[in-house]
Amino acid sequence: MSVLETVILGIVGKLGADEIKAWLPRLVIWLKDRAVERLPPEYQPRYEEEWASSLEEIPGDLSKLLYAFSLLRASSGIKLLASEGSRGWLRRSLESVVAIVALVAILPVGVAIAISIRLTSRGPIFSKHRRAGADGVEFTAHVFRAFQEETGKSGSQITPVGAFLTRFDLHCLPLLLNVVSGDLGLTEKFPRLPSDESESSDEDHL
Amino acid sequence: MKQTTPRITGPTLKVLREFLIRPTGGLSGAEIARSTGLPSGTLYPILFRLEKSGWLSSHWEEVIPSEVKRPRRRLYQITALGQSASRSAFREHLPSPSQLAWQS
Repeated sequence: MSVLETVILGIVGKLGADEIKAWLPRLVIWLKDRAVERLPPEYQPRYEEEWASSLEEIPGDLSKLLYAFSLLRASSGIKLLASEGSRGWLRRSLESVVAIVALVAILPVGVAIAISIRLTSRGPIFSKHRRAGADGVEFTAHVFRAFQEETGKSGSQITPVGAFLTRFDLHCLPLLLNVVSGDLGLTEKFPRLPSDESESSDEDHL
Repeated sequence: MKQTTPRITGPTLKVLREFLIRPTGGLSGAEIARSTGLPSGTLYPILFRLEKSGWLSSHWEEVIPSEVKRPRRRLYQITALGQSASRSAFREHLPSPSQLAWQS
């Protein structure tokens, strides 16, 4: 082999290695994105971020590549597990329809409750809560406000209307909206947050 | 949410052991993968299953991505239910007392 050939081979080899080195990170991201795409839509944002950060933690391009490649199998596994426990689409749709019918039927009651909350205490009609719903996906639940709005003092007082509502679980009627959107099952318990003292009585069984 | 008992497999035990040995703070998927040697394709479905069963919980690392210039890590922690349930799973699957040395 002549000197020239050796030099050319060396240059080509170096260029080839540089090329691979430059493309590997892109391939890793591409694989991760394909894995995220295969997940059910509600899980995509979480795993997009989780896997991106995991890949950042892995040292070495080759290890990253193997990790990303294996994520394709991870997403298939998660997809399968997610469908196992979740309610089927038929049940979800049926529940939505039932919830819509129920919402229309109780609309006058709902309006009456909203007016009475508004007239008897200061503050919003609904109180918002972040909850883990069906399949562990977080959602915002609205219930009729049963407590006095926080005034800076610790602990808040139940309103007279609130006492009546919670006695009959009527404050949970707006949760039907979450059933319509599929966040919550019709027969599911409204998950509690132990840290929320103002919600000691709104565990619900619709 | 309906909670089921997860299927206990060899890799699942590996993951649970990791949480029992290092119970403080949270562990990211990459950390668990490194210490257990499990490929991500096996690990994440296990974490998903254990979280769904209430044995593990997870939360976002409390950093601002724009400040640390990387995405937030998702950190997994073992729950009280997970601790007691996995201890009995270990007793069932690894009956030899020498293998339970980490418990003492």
